[in-house]
Amino acid sequence: MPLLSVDNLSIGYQTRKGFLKSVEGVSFSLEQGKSLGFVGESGCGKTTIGMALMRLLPDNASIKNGRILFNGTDLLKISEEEMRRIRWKKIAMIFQAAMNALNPVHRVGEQIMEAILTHDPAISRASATNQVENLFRMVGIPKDRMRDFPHNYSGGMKQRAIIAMALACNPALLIADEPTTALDVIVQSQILNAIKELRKAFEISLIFISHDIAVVADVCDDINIMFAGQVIESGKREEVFTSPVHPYTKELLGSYLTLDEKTAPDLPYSGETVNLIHPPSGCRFSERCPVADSTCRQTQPEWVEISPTHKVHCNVGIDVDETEAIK
Amino acid sequence: MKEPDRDKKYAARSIFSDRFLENWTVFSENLLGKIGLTLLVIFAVMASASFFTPLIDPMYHPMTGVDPDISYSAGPSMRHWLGTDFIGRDILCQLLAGARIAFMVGISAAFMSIFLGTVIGMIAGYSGKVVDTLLMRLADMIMVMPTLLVVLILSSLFGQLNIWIIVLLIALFRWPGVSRVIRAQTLSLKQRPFIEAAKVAGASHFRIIFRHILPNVLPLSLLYMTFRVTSAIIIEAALAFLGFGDPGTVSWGMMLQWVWKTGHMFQAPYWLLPPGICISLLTLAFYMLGRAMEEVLDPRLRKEVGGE
Amino acid sequence: MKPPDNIIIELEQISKIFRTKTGFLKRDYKEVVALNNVSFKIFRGEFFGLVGQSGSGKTTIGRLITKLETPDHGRLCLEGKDITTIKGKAYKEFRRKVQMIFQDPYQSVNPYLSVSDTISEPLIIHRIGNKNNRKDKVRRIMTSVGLSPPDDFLHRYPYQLSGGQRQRVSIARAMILEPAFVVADEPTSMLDATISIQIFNILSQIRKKFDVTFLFITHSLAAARYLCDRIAVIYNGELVEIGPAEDIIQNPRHPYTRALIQAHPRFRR
Repeated sequence: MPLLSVDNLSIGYQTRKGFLKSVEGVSFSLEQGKSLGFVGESGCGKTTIGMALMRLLPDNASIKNGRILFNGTDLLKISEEEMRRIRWKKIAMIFQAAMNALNPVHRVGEQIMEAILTHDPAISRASATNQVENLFRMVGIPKDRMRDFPHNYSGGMKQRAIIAMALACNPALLIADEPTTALDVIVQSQILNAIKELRKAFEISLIFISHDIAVVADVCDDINIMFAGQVIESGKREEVFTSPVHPYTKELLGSYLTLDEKTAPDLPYSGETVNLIHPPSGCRFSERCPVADSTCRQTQPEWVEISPTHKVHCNVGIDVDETEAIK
Repeated sequence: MKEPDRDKKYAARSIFSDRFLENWTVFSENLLGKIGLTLLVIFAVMASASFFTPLIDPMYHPMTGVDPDISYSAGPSMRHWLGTDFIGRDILCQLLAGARIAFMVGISAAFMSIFLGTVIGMIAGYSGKVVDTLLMRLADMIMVMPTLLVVLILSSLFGQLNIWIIVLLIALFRWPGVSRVIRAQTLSLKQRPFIEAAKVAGASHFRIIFRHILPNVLPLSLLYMTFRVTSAIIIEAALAFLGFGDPGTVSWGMMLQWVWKTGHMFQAPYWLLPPGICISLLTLAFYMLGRAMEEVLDPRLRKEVGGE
Repeated sequence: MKPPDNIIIELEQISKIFRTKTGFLKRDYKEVVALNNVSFKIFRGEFFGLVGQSGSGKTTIGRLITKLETPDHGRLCLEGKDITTIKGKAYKEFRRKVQMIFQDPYQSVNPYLSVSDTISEPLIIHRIGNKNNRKDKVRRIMTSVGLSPPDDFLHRYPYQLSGGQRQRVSIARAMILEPAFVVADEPTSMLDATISIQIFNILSQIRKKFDVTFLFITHSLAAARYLCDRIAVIYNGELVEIGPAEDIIQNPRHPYTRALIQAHPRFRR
């Protein structure tokens, strides 16, 4: 049984202008010990999914549909009391700009200790201190920095402290939402390495959310590409990157500048962002799509399986010769 | 690819009508705002009614209205819904006239003090260093002075003051509070990239202050105006009550003074209570309005969160 | 080697120190050396990249060149003339020739001004044209940056625009005076990857069309390589390497440059 199985999840926000359909019909599963990445531009719904998994959505958000099965339990059906027991102990999250989550007036070591003590009241202080030392070692912060305040830490160190805090209770699943944005590229690569090593050492399952496709490629086994609230392509890392099928995935990969080869994409002006309050009846990407036709604009695309692990939510982008479309 | 009709709609609107509609929805959802606005409308109706009462019958004039039958303080009756004052003038008419004066004084004094405070605050915040220090020290000195006391002293020196002089004095003493806030806002705006962009484009200081900073501090100024109105009304009432008001105007404070001076304080509740209640309610109404506006202006106070 | 009259911007031994007051009575100063003896030249018409991480001093260089800050030591020259301390007419002239595109599209346009107001403001400030031909100039520059058709956007306010559209407005505002030199300070770091590429392409096209020199400040070596002819790498307030873009990427000499290249995420491992 997979550790996490999300089935047809739909989430929306009640705004003054109407009901914003932020996530629409998203399904995915995650096996124990594996890592899954969510890539998409801002507004695509990836952060909303992360927050939904922790049931930390704001008041004006509502889950319209779907199930989130964690170890067989539907997280959407349990009480807040029960969810609280799962949060942090079984599922932990590193939020966007989490570095600012550290309380500036408490020492860093203390804050992590507090996280441990809160979730495990039976533990002794000495034992908790030991755990904190271990965590610091795991994330690569020197032990003597435990008694420092957050402002003494650099951005990269703060982020490591946040990772340590997330791992404090030894969760089975870690959700990381843009953990390396705002960090320099050198620090970013160090943090990503730290995450990879921690995963290996503790067999933590990971959901990695980012707009940076290369970062996700570095860390994750499987990738879900998101656009306007929907998953539009899903597959193993190699499949998605070396043979992308969906026109948006191709556009995304083409936009990413690497040091490997000098790419020169000449993309037309893409137009307005998709209206999520009144989404189009057809494919949400059809307005921007270079190969869309009239059926794309009118009817919702289907899921097409390209391989047992690689599928795409599109009717047009597939080369019929190369794949077997199983509808 | 685009929808031309939707874009044409944008061309016709201006920021103020679009934003105004959006802000109006927030405002009207706020309970305090609704109560405050209702009260204000009631008082505004009262104030406008005060123009018409003498036309019904000359005895309904607040200052000169003389009832041929009653020349003393009498309780409420069919002819005088709130009764009469010590020389037989209709109390209700006085109350209505007082509403008019309260609005006039309140809004003029508030407007003047906000105008001064905003300009000085912007200049201080933008200039920094010497100019800023000088202006703020001046503001401190004025802020420390008790407005009421100084006006009292001035009127005892110069005799009875005209209502407009009183308004001016209130404005001159009340601008420091606003200027501090506007200065703080200006200081933070100064750092914003669009101000730097204006500098790089070659804008003069004057242009930056009045074309870029002013529209951004104006909402805050307007907010403070609502608070200033309350203090202006109270100061005027206090002055009138203490006998230093303009004897030619009928304000609620003046009414209270008459009650007191003519010894009717405990004998004529129909005369004593209405002006006092009106002062409280009107200042409360403006205050509530201000609080509701605060929610409109500060998106952080709003109870709604959008998507990503 | 290019002849000297081809040099548009030159920094000579520029140093900038930021002081913050510390200590109990705020009498002591803590000095942060943002730039330490930086010197380099930018040639007319080139796309020059300045690559560094946060805190390296790259933004400070941009701010010094646009005179939003003044250097503590050293000289700054525009077209051979010393502009370190200029006033009056020379200053006004400077403001016509040197422009800037800022990093944050959400904060670099006045929320209370329409697109038309924002873009035409430099024309008004420098008293160029009259009411009628200003509108035409504005329309033409809007087309060049991809805000097309212009009439659809003229009356919009920033809150009605996406991040990418706002940045195009910023670019239009910077280019309307047809300056000789433009500093683009991390123009896409707050935008998504797909929009970033569009903005880069616009800058490329603009450079060719208007024959303008760009200083492109960025933290991404890959972006610099995509756009720039020459790249300078800055670390801790000092210039560590400078040279043609391809050369820097293929044969990095300084260990810091090598570390940057090494750390850059790659698709294939």
